[in-house]
Amino acid sequence: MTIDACIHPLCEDKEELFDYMPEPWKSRPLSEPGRYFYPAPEGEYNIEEEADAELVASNPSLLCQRVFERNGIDEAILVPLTRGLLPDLDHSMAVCRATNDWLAERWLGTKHNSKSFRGSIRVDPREPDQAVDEIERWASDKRMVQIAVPMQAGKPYGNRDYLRVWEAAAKHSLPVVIHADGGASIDFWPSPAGYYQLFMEYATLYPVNFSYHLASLVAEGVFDRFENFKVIFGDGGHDQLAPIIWRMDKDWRPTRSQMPWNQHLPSEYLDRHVRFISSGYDGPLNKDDWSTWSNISRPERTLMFGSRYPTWEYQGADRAFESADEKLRNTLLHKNASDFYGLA
Amino acid sequence: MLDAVSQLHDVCAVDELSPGQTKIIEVNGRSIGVFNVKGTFYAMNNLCPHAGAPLCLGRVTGTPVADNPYSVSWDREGEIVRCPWHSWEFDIATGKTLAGPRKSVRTYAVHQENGRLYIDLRGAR
Amino acid sequence: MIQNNEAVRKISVNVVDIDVHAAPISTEELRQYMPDEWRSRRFPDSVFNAAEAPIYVAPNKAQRYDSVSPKGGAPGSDPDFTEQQVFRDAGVDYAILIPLTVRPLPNTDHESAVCSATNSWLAATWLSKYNAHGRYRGTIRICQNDPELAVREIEKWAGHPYFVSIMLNPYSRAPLGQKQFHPIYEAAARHDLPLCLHVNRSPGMGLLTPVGYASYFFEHHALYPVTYATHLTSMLTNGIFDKYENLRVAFIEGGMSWFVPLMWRLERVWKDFGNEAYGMRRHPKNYLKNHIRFGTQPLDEPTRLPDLKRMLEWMDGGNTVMFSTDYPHWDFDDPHWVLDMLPSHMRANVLAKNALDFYKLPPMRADLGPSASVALNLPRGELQHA
Repeated sequence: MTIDACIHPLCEDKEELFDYMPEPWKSRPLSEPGRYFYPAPEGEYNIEEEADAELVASNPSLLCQRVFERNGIDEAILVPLTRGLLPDLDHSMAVCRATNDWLAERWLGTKHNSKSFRGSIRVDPREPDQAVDEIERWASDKRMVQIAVPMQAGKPYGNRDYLRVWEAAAKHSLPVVIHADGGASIDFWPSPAGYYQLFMEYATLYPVNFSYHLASLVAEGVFDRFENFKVIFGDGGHDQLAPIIWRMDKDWRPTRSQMPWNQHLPSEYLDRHVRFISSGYDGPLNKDDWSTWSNISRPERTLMFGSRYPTWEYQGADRAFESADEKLRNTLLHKNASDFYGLA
Repeated sequence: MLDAVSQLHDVCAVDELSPGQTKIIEVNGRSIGVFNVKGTFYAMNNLCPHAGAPLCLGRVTGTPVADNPYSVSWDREGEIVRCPWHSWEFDIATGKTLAGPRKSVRTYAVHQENGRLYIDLRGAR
Repeated sequence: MIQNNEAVRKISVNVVDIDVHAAPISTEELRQYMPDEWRSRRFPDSVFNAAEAPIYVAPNKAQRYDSVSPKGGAPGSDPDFTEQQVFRDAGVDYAILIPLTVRPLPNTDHESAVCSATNSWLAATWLSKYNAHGRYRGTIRICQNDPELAVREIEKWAGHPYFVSIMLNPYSRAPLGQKQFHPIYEAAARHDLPLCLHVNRSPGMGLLTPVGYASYFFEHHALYPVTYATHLTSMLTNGIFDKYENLRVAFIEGGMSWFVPLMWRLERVWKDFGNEAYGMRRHPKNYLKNHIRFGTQPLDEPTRLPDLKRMLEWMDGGNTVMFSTDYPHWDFDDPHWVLDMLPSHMRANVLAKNALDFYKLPPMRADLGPSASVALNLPRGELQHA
């Protein structure tokens, strides 16, 4: 059994999303969905065995068939991407609302036998009033299993500006997936030391930026404040969690007096509050190292499979966790997501 | 009278260790710190369980407390010692870290008799 | 300089500390070395403050609470007390001094002048007056944002017997593998001087993360590895080690374990996209042994402490890791403690040999200055005296 926790549905054409927007947004120019910086050298939707991936991912019945029938997936969660940090917050939320309407109408109704897609509610957490309204609007639609926000941010996600949004998420038991979004917007440098030169650097390092959000959520006591608040880091980089969390744990006792509102080591929040989507770019290359590394990095606690179809990062379930034993494979391919999202 | 079976070590005259002060003594190859916390005396090994720092040389202070994020107040002034190296906070009375999982340093009972302070080398109370 | 004295016994070097922060007695002392044209310009003392960062301040203002000199000077400013705590108490034989007296400034001419003052001060004090025992080595400070002036500073000190390294600052405006920094690497390679990456922070945009500013020191400090990983990845993929084949860089104070999963990730990305990195001609993992080193401090403390040994095996720690204390900073690592955490077959190399090779230091030293008060428990055969 396999759950694919990260598939990116695409618009059929540029105009499609505008059909779901009222004025004045309908006639407001909107940036392209792709990354302006660091385009994937061989194309954003270049998958080796699937030359038609871009087409399939923009057609609900084709995608249904590809995912549930050909690839044998049992449950799939769609994470539509928007445009990242648009400078006009109202415009940004209008894009989110349109995306959610488009997803619900075009994608979440399509069935393949009894299987259908689950969805994510996009919001811009920089606009808490509208974000909370949008969460409330969709909260009772059980086809939506999470909230989606960009990895890009103007302040790390533990910051007190976001609390109302996280409170609404926790209230409705909706985890929040944090995933790189858009890429022609008002983002900061992708690294703490400026712009990378190469796509290779971006691909290697950008997912590791989860660290900043995680450190912030821990330091600002968000997990203590909202026991039911959970996040998923959607870009991968799970392997970096271990060395980063060790360092956080080590720095905790010396510095906790600056943040005296909780008494837990950072690592103690992971089981309950933090998950990662897998990436084909993570993992030891040597098969023999896999078991030792799993013993250290404990993927069974926090890792869930996501194919990232139809992007260049795509990894099919058959290739994922190849070196893991059967029990661990099943946990990562199915059980963790099933438990976390409360899927049957 | 002091119990003859105990291993009592004479530290100093009571009035040689004022409130807020720490005295370091060497006994049988062990370095031990003796504290006066607002008139009550405590003693612990001068060796941080983390990485071996001379714990009792650290600053004696209080600690910030908060029921909720961002509303911080100051408490327990003079009851906490912060390791001079990595600043771990230890409760002087119990020898335990404030933050969990609790780590602890060995403590010793301190007795007063005839105006003098004695620590009981048998160990933790 | 040590006189060539037959009567002075030579002993073997067992502990090299690659990260000690000597400090001036006062900012006044350092200002004396500022070039003439800058000496009368007023600027904040905090620029020079080797101890306390102006922002994101570590516990106890970043110092060991017990490192204030009996004479009352700032930690790291008193050579006698430093010798006591570093040579005697910690058992260090050689100490590589990295002065943190240059916090980046927007005006690169100004920053270069502060570098120049720092290097002159270090040469005149810790590398000569205080170095009769010959156990200190120094690090050249440069303003990396002005490579021309940086190269000039390197040329000035390259022949000095006790400057053994050049410091790069991770709080930079671009990842450090990029072309604008190459003249620095060219000069370093030409003089066969290794480089080190070490933090020295100033306020402002150097502190900005990809997702905004951290609220607390905890966030900033715990995530040094992400910054270090950025620079390492940049250096590798932008081909500086192919272009300058004898170039080598030590990553100090940024942790070590992160390197292991990062390298796996980089190798995988390289498999798919390596064509793009035309400057990097070899497989990514083939640069570690000849070009990259890590300082041990602050030692990683995995949830299960013995896991550190496994991480060190994966990164060929026996060849690539070098011991450091970070004296007199708050998160100082004592060599006895570090020793116990290392796989036994790596201990002698990590504590001394890797640094002796990296910095090209003599493996025997004159028996001058304080010796270790408590001998380190190194494998037999390592503690040899002439």
